[in-house]
Amino acid sequence: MLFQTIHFLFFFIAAFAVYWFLLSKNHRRQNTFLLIASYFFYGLWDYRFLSLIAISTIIDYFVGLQLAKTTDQKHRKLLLSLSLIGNLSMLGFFKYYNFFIESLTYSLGILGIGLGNLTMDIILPVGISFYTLQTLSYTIDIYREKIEPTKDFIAFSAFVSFFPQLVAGPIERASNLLPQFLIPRQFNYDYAVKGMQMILWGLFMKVVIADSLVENHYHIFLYSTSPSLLSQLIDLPMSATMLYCDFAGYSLIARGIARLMGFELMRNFAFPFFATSVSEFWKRWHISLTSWLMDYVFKPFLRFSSSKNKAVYGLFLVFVLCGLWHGAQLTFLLWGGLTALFYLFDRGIQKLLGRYMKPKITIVSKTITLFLWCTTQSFFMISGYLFFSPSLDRTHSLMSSMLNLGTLDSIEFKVNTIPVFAIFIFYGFEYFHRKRNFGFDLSPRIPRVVRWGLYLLISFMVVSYLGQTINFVYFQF
Amino acid sequence: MRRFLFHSILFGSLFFGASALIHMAKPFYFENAMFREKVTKLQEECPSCNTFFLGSSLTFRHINPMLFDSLVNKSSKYPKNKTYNLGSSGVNFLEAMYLVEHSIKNNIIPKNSTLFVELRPHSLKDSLFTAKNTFYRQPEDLELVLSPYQNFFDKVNVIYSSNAQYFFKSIHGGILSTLNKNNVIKRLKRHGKRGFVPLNMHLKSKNKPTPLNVSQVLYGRKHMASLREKLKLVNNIAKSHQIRLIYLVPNLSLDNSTDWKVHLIHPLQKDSTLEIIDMAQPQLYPELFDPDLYYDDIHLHKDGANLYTQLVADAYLKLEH
Repeated sequence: MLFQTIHFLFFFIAAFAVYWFLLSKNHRRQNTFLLIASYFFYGLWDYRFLSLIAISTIIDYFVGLQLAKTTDQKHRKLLLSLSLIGNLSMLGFFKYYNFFIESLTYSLGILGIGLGNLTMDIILPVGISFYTLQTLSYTIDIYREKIEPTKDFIAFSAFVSFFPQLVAGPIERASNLLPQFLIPRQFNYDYAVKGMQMILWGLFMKVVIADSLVENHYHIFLYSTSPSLLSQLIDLPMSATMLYCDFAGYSLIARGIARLMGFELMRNFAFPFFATSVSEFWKRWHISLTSWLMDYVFKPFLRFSSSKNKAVYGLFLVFVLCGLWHGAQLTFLLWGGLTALFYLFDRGIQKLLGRYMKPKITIVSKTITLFLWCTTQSFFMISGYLFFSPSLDRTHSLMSSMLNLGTLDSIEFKVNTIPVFAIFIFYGFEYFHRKRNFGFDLSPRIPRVVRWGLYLLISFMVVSYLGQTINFVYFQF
Repeated sequence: MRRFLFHSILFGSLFFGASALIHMAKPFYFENAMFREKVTKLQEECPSCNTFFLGSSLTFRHINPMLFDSLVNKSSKYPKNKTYNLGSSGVNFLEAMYLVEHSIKNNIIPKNSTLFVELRPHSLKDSLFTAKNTFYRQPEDLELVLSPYQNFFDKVNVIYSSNAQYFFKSIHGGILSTLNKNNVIKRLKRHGKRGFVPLNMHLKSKNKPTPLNVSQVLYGRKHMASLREKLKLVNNIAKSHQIRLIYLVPNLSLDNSTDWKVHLIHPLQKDSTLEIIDMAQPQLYPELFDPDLYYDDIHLHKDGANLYTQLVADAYLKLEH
């Protein structure tokens, strides 16, 4: 059940009505209802994989309770290992088994050892990469004594499976979301209106922009035999916009829905395309994942490593893991490595040019900022070649076809005028509201007539593009 | 909560109200800029035309009205034939039915005339909900295209989508016509003769085209019966307006064992109340499937179009009437 379908609209209206009108006096009953609704929501994809969420929930609930009961470090480490092995083995099997078997078979094949065909037909359960990290954060935080475990099993289960963010994030932290399940929720008008704005803008991003660009993106990155340099140069920013609008759109809808249920989810995107350094970019893009990797991989690595270059190694480790998280493919691994390289290179440029950046805004500092913005976004798009290509061969063939500069007539561009027009509107709003929470975060000072006019216009645009439903890109991760 | 609900209902009413207004205001061919252009030109260029061809680019690019008239007028059967090509790019089968039905009802096709309507299968499932929504204006039209994977929700989706699309496409169409950016319509305005603009053979793509083999057909057998009913219904509407309707299956390389032919065309051919000219017969018209006559995989170039027109004229003259 995708957010942009009428099925979901009916599901959500029903859930909203039951949640607020029948159960509003008892937050425990609300939690039970959310748990049922979330399992129903997920079960419509594939009910068989509900058992994985249940197993993950049970392991971490009991490990969490046991961790709080003991002070013996050996015992605590054993419990943490149990949670890590339990969760990561499920993730590893469903997501990485074939990749590692294929790599192993290939490597042993070079040495002349044959393993035969050990790969399996495995379906990747939707959202497993998201909820696995979410539950792990709970156990690790208890282990680090940052949070207390909850005894409320229903609240914990609802936290793990909360339907707005179950299948594609944001990857929530127990410290932020779990406490919200433990206290009564109040319906707040302003809060709900913001939620509606988030849903509307998220749908606009997904349905009008991302879905309109997806055909061109697939054409260039998958099907076109030899797209010219000019075609690729036009498609790269379009593909980046497509990816952003698809994923950030989903996150925004998830946040909006959660708000209507009285929850605040963490922000997942903060206008990354206005970042002027690679480090800033990654603080604004998929924040819930990058901050997770920082807290649970990078910082512990720095603590345990004694190397002089531990920060550099840590950085590579984080980005390679980030690549691997996206999928068991060599392209993703290389993408991670390349991004880390760009990160370091960009730091060098920033250092070099930083001395010319005066506190006062001058033409020189403005030019440098523009240059840094260009390099940051270019780094992201160049690494996108690895991210978007299904294989290294395809990346290579795209790079090779760049030698053909192409002419204006040979541009392969399959996007209609309306979506192109919508992209301009979109970036206009994003730029105008870049210091606010999200692109359509309208100020209450704007007259109601104007606000409602905008709501109507955006709604019409969304509805006019609802004809076909395209999956969210991040469901595959 | 009350305030929120009140505002939600108010907004919903505004949305559906605006949608209803658009629904009432939109012309039946709202999205089809080329058809609109042709309807306008028809009144100026050929008010006395009495034969019309309606369909997709396989009609627009393939039927040469002047040639057709010169061939048909030689016969004593139709000495005063005057033809206009109302074909427009991208029109699929259901939209063609929709345009026929409403063109007749709106007197765009005058009484006592002959109307050729292109009859061809959809080739791809996913094209259904993307390009054209004109024919979804009536829910019963949508019934025809519902596959087992589509249901009530899709129907609601598409009809409301149609209204919203009209709103934006009107703006879009307005901008395009103001800027004069629609190249096909620009060419139609400049070079079109009675709605016909052939494809230039010198612009042929680098790779030699191969006539398209339409193997994937949208409608399962389940829908063939309702499609046949639709065709009969449109035929009856035409008859009630004293219009002779002839279904024309264009030059697609469908052989006679194709599901679509077996379950739709063949039963129609047995029905004596309907007239059909079937050009999708490579075995009968091998010359029509010569790759040298093609501009791309599906469209004939100028010479191909002339041959096609000639073959259609011959088949027309052979029809008993």
